[in-house]
Amino acid sequence: MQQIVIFLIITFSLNHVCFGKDQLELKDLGIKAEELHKDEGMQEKLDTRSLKLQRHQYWGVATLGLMAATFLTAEEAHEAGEEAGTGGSELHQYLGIATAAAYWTTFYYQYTAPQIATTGTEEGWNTKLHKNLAWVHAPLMALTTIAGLMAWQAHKDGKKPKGLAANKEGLGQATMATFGMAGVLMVFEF
Amino acid sequence: MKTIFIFALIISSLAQAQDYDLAKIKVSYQVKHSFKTVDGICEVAKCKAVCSEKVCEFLAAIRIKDFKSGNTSRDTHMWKVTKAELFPWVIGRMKGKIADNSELNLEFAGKKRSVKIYQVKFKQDQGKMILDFNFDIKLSEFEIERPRLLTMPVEDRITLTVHSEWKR
Repeated sequence: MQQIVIFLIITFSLNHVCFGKDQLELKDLGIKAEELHKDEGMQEKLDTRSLKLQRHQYWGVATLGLMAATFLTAEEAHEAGEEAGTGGSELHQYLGIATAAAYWTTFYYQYTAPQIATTGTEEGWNTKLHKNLAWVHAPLMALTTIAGLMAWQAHKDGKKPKGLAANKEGLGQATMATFGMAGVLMVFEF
Repeated sequence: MKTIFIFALIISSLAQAQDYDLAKIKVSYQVKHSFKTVDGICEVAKCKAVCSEKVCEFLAAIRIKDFKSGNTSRDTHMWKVTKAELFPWVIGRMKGKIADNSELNLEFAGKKRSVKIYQVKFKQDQGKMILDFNFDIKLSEFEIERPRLLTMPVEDRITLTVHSEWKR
C-alpha cells in the first residue's frame, strides 16, 4: 500500500515539475478584473481624435500647396493690379481665398480633436514647437487675408495699396515659412 | 523511516520547480517609416516564471499604455490602432526550453498569434535569471491598421526587444 502511495506521489511531483500541468494564469500576475475592463466610449474618442488629426494633416498639406501657388501667382497679380480699375489677377485672388479657407479648416480639425489624458510622458519638443508656431502663423494668416482684401480693394479703386495692404507680400511669406516649418517638424524626426 | 523518505521526496521534487519574480524589464519596439524611425519603450510589466532544471514557463502582461515613444500624440494614435481601450494588455506566454526559435504565444489587439524568438540570451545563476530576446511581429497579422504619415504607412514588420531580469 505504501509503495503505491510513494509511486503516486512521485508521479504527481514529476508531472507537476516536468509538464507544468498547472499553467500560469493572469490571476497569478495579480491583474484585477477592473484592469481588464473594456472602455468602448474611450476607444471611440481615440478613433475620433485620430481621424480628426489625420484630416488636420491632409488639410495642412493642401494649405501649404495652396500657399505656394498663391505665392507663385503674386507677381502676375501685382502687374495686373497696376492697371487702374482692376482688382488684380483673379487667379491669385481665388487662390488666396482657397488658402485661407484651407488654413482655417486645418485649424478646425486640430481644435476639435478630443484631448486624451496621458501620464508619464511629455510631449516631444517638435510637437510642442509645432503647436506653439500656431501662435505665430495664425495671426499672420489673419493679417495676410485682411491685407490681401485691402490690396484688392485699393487696386479696384485705382489706388496704390498703403499700410498693411502694402505689406501683404511680406506677411504672406512669413505665414508660409512658419506654417511650413510647423509641418516639417511633424514629418521628420530631428 | 518511510514517512521521512516520502517527505524528502516531495520536498526535493517541488524544489526543482522554482518560481521567479520579475526584478527588471525593458521591452522596446521599433517602427520604421520612410521619413523616420520611432522607438517605444516600456519598463513596467507583470510577469511570472516557473522553471525546473531545463524547462521554463513564462507569463507576461504589459499594458499597451505603458509603452512610451516620447511623443504623446503618437502614443495616443498607437492606442487607437492597437485598440488599447478594448484590449488593454499584451500578453505573452512561453513554455519549454528557451532558445532561438522557441515559440512565444502573443495576445495582442484581440488576436492570438505565435511568433519565434531569436537572439536569445538565457542565464540562470544562484537564484537569478536573465532572459533577453528579440521577436518580430507583423501588424497585418494582428489586423492592426498601419499608422500613416502623409498617406505613407509604416512598415508592416515591427521588431521588439526584450531584456528581463528575474529573482527567486
